[in-house]
Amino acid sequence: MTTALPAEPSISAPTDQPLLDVDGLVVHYHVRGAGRIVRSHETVHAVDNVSFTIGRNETLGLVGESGCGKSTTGRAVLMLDRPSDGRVRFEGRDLVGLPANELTALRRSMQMVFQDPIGSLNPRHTVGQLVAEPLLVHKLVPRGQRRQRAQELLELVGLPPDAVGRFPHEFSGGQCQRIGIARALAVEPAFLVLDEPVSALDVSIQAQVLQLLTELQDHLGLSYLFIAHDLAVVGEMSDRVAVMYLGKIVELAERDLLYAKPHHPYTQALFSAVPAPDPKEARERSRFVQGEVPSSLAPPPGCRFHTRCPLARDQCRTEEPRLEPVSEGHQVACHFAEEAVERNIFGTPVAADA
Amino acid sequence: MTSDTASDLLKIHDLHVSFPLERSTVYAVQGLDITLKAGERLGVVGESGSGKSITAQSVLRMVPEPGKITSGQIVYDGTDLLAQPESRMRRIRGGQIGLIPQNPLTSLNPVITIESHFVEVLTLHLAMTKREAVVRTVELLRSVGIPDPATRMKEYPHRLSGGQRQRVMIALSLACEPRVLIADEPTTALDVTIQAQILELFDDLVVRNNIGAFLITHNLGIVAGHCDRVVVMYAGRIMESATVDELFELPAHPYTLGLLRCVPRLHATRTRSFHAIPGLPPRVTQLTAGCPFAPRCDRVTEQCHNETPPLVDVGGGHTAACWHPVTLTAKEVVA
Repeated sequence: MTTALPAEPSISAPTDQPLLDVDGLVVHYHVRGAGRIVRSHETVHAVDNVSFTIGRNETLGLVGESGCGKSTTGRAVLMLDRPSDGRVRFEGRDLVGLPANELTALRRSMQMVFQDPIGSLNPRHTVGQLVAEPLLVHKLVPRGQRRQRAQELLELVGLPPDAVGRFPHEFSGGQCQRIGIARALAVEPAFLVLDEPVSALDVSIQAQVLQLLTELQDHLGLSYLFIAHDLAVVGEMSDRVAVMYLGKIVELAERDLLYAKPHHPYTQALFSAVPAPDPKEARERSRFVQGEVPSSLAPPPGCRFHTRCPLARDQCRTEEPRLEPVSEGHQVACHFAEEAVERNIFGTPVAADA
Repeated sequence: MTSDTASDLLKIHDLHVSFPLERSTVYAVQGLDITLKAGERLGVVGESGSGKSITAQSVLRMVPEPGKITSGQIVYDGTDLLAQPESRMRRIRGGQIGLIPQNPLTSLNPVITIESHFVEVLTLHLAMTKREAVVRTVELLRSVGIPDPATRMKEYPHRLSGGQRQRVMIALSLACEPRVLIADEPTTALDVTIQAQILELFDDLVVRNNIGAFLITHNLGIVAGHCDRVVVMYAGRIMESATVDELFELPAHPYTLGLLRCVPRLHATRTRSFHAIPGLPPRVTQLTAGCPFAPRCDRVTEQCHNETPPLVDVGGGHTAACWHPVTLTAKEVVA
């Protein structure tokens, strides 16, 4: 990948081992069911057997609709939600089953930026306190120097140093998201989970924050797990992209391969549903995926997309497709991926370059 | 404004809305003129704080406290809605002017069934008997694509998915066969595949019933595919107004151009470039002369800071409020 700013020396020589290695991740929640007299127990299959890796200085985009498990995956990777099964290796160490104190120490290297920029900041703390709090938790910077460090961090994310004495409500949504990013960067992590970091922001502000995230990545050699529902935004941020549906990754590919030729019918459906900011192109779109996402309490057997897939046949209803390579750097979980590409059932437009 | 008044369905004239707060007053809408024609889908686009939702709420006289409509006219069917007594407004709201709200869950009453929502509206506005109302409810729900409507209408709102709730809200807003429909960010709470379904339904119903519809949105992609004409709002004013094709082909206002460039697009290869508009949208607490977009504009001159640009015709009914309008072709717009 190309970098506009010189990367730090430690990053320019990546090791073979990925920074993050997620293998067979499962997150199930147990909930009480809707039984009238005797309450039954049901299981939410939030994330089911998900595997991926993220290299140093790499961004993996995770895209899908609400309830597909993308946020749960992000949280489980940081052990904010405990996985029911599977392994999450960070710098070679398995985080699952790690004692709390060791996990806390490791969290210095892994941070999160949340979707709601204002709601994720304590309104009674000054911006300086908010940004310096991780330093306090990890006992990193002596008390006397914390204010100065907070100012440096705010400058790094493009906020004026005098912001330290002010409160979150004095800032706009975009500025609050910058504060959230400064807070995540305070402990100098190597890896950030970005959970829908711009979806609450106005379109004219989104680009400012995305630009900042890109520059920080180049400058600090960060790795990102970028979670979002907007394919266009994910496409500009990611080196590779994973598409999730009902707790499973249905397609995982190098960014350009996926956007040039999506193979899975669900990925094609997602692309065709993105509103085209061009009246002529928009008028030509006519075929959309029908139906809704089934409940994750009882995911359909076989391929989970078969209830909405126009190509579905008996094999899809009984036999679960595995994520298999269709070409170098492109994996798809569909029994009829080649046919899906050929028939292009949703009239997915070939992404055009400006 | 065009002179073809025969098909003019609703006319907003010189609307001013302000919010007196403790220490200051926010001037949310400042002198707005919009004409809606029958069978027209009019997009009202803007970022948060642009006054687009307040405009929609003004039409129904539902501006939230402490907001006040300070002056202007909203002429519907020959009468000024702002001069009507509340009792008549109650008949118009949900009767001749329907609303599709942003969040269907909070707009449906959680403790009554879907059926009860419809029966209430139909008996109140159309003086139907309960039996007639139930029959009509089934028809309405079927028309918006709810499967097995006779069973589903016995359910409470929480039992329905987000997409189905929005379908129910659309059916409810159409129950009294309104002539004007206000869709206030109708798909913001929905996923893209469901959004596509709901917008398809919206197009279908508006065209089939010859309704004039406001589609309030921040998403230019939605405007491109589902509107006939567009009004771009910024800081409570209209910056530009044109047909959809004109606006996307030849945007005249630098703000419109900026918005078009900001829209994330699907590129075949990753570009890693992001277009932003520098600065922040203003919160208008002082009425001053000058263009509200001037502090963020790259074409700004002294004149922009001192004189408010009027909304003038730049060709064939396409209007823009700018001293230095853009002249670009479509290719240059996106580049």
